[in-house]
Amino acid sequence: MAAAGIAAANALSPRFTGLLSAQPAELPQDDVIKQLMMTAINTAKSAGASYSDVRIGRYHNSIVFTREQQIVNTADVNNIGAGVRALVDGTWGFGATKTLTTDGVAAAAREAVAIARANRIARDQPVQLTPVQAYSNVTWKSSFKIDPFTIPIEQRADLLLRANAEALKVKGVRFVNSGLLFVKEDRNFASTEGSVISQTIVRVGVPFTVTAVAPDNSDFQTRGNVVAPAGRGWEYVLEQDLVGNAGKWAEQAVQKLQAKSVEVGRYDLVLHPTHLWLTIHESIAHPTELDRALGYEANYAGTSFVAPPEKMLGKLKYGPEFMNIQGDRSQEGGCATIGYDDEGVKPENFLIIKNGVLNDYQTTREQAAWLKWWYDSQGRPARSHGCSNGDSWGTVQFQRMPNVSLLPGDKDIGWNDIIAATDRGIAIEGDGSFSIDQQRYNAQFGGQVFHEIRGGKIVGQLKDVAYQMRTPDFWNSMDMIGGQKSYTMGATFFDGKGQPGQVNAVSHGCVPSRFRNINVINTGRKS
Amino acid sequence: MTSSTRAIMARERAQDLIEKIVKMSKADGITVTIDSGYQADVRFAANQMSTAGGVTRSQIAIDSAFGKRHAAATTNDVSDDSLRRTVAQSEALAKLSPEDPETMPPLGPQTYVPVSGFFDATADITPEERARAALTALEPSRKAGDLKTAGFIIVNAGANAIGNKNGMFAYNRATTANYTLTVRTNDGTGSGWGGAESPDWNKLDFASLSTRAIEKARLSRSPVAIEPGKYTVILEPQAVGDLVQLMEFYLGARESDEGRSPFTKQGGGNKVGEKIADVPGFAFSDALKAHASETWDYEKLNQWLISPKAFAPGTKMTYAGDKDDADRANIIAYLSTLSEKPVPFPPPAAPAASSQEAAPAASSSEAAPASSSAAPAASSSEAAPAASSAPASSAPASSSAQ
Repeated sequence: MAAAGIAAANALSPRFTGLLSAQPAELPQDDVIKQLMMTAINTAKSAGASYSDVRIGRYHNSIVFTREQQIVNTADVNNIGAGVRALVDGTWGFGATKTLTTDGVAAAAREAVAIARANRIARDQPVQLTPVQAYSNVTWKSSFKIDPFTIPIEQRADLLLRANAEALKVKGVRFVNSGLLFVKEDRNFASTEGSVISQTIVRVGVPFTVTAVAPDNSDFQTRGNVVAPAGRGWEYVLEQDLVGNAGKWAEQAVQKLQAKSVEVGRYDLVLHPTHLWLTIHESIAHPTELDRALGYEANYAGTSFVAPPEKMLGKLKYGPEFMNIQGDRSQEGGCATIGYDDEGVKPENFLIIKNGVLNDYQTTREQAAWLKWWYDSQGRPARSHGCSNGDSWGTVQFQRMPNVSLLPGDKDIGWNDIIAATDRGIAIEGDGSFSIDQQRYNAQFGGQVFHEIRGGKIVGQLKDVAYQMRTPDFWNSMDMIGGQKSYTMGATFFDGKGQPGQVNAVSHGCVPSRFRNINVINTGRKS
Repeated sequence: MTSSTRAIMARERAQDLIEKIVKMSKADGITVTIDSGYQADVRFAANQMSTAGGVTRSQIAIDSAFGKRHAAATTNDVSDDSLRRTVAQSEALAKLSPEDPETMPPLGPQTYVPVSGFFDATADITPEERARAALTALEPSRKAGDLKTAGFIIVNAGANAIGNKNGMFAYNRATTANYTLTVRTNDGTGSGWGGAESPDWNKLDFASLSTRAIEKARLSRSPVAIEPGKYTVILEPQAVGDLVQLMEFYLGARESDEGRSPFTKQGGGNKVGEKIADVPGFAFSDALKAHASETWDYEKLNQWLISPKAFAPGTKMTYAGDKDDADRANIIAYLSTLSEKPVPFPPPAAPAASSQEAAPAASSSEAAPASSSAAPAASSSEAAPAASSAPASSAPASSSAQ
């Protein structure tokens, strides 16, 4: 065993360490990795696990951050290791190691079993897993065209500094912060169910914020969150035309200084997809996480008003009949898009809200079993929706959000059409600060750019705008949505959940939508 | 040998490794940081065990500098090949970076004050002990039948080392143990939180923290809706800490100086030295001021809670009072937990509180309600002078909330 471990380490090391160069090579399916994965799950099984899975991964992040005309930070983080999960007598255990040798992964497997066994004394109900199809020797790659890690750091910095310069040309702009975040994950998975899966995922983030300050320092306004992160490559960065658009974003920040402070009251809101994605994320996607609804996040991320499931599924009228919310991990460019989840499940598209009524929750293999009664009543099999994810080899996988999206309406209308149909309202672009209670029931959302609508036209910009909502009331007030052509995805790299805390990258597609008679408050009031 | 012992890089090994990396450097300056250690946790929720794990980690960050140009690269692979590549990568990144005008010169050898934050009791804790700690919340909640508990126990044992080309080297080992839990009542109306952190596992009183969270859950059941308006609000230290953490986002000197922070002074500069919050000066009603010379004791607090208006006619307090003896006893018992030096409860027969039976059943042995300094929380009845509390076993600053 020891000799094999050394051999494995020697064979593995050059391949992994080679990735530390600025232009890492692709990591193809590797016999050594497979061998280590087999060692891990077989060791767990021999030690008493009824089920085991292993993830061996390389997580490569690269960042460049700038402000005005200087680089403030560049860093490259490369992290490799193995995480083994074991189910023993209905109780979970997890062990992880950075030592990618036969001995290393075997020790992690034994530790996972030992922890599971130790926890047996505190077990009540045993964990049960819904069936999964085995996928043997499959590979998957996300839809990037140009690997962003092949772009020299010099070229990345040059792009950002040129965009910053354009923003700084606008009178009133004093500060610009911009950055490029690249993520590349080489994930390998194997389980005692018979799956052996290898995947490569690339994501890019482009934070860009312009700050305008009043000459007497009496006010400052920002325009940020202008580019959504995406599960794509360098081509996505280029499509954003940072240099060409920087001036426009800077103008919007300056205009906010002169904008009229909003009068409190009730307005019809026309919400752009660059804004609405966050409202979907917070008020639909989070409360329909099944573990959250059942109290599994009560000590950290919170609970859900969409509970208990037996009183909600098929009953809760979340919104109007034309409202359909889809969970998926299949949309091209989605941050949560993946071929197979971290339990080896090939995700399917599923409707969380169907014709305005709650239809499903986000699930893993363990959780799908909890809703068997519902799936039976619907004539559907109880199977995981493929929402299991760990944010690295060293963190245990659990239920994370898939892409959760508002599907387009039947009519071929868009942003301008909805504004034209609105007599008195506010149109909001971009996501801003927000606050929401732990059950996701009462919330308040700001934004980036607020347009005043009068008589179907935009008549000027507002500031200090935030709207208040009670989730079901808000969504039931939706009376117009855009068509397929107006569909756009927003996203975040940093959706937090779990203990120890993990982050998840997720996208939310949506269309421009109108909400009637929503309470708007003024966030700039001094008292 | 425990998992922690295996995972923590010893001082000598860390120093050797840093020296080896420094020798690989072709840059003007190089700073190497090494983090190594072991983290173990157990999570439970909905009265069930959830996930549990143990992770061995190490990370080496290498920051190279050419004049005022610098950049970092990080790896967790300690093989010579990997280290050479990471050094080369940080140097390549640094050469490409423009000069950083705010670069500070590297430190030379330093003298550090020794600290003792490493406890074997934490580093050597076993999965069985962690599971037993979880049972302090799980067992009573399951037994009660009307409670659901969710909690998390995490222990860390690790070492940090830092060194550079100029001979600076520092090494520190540390442990932490953290416990948080949330207990909710099944009717969905009550919720109680408890938590604590210590470098020493033996200092965490799991049973007490679990009991406290359960008590809070029960006490908070069936809350009554109140009208919007201005109220005096008493926050636990953890709640105040959460607000302070939010404020930290705006406390950067740069943002304040540059005019983009609430701490920017109108006209330029920042508000350092200015008074930004007013602690004293709460406008007590004349009715309550009339009691200013008196000392709060359990009996006065009891009378105040029965009816603020009867106790101090003309008070601004709109709270109608609570006629339920058990409720008041529970409130007083809770307030007492917020005190740094809780005053012993009077015995049941003691004249001070016996007539109303305000003292909770748990009240103890020693009699004599302190005639001197009253239960600190008592002062919070109308306003919340800063004097109140700082519970000994309160929540850790690091505990998290999303």
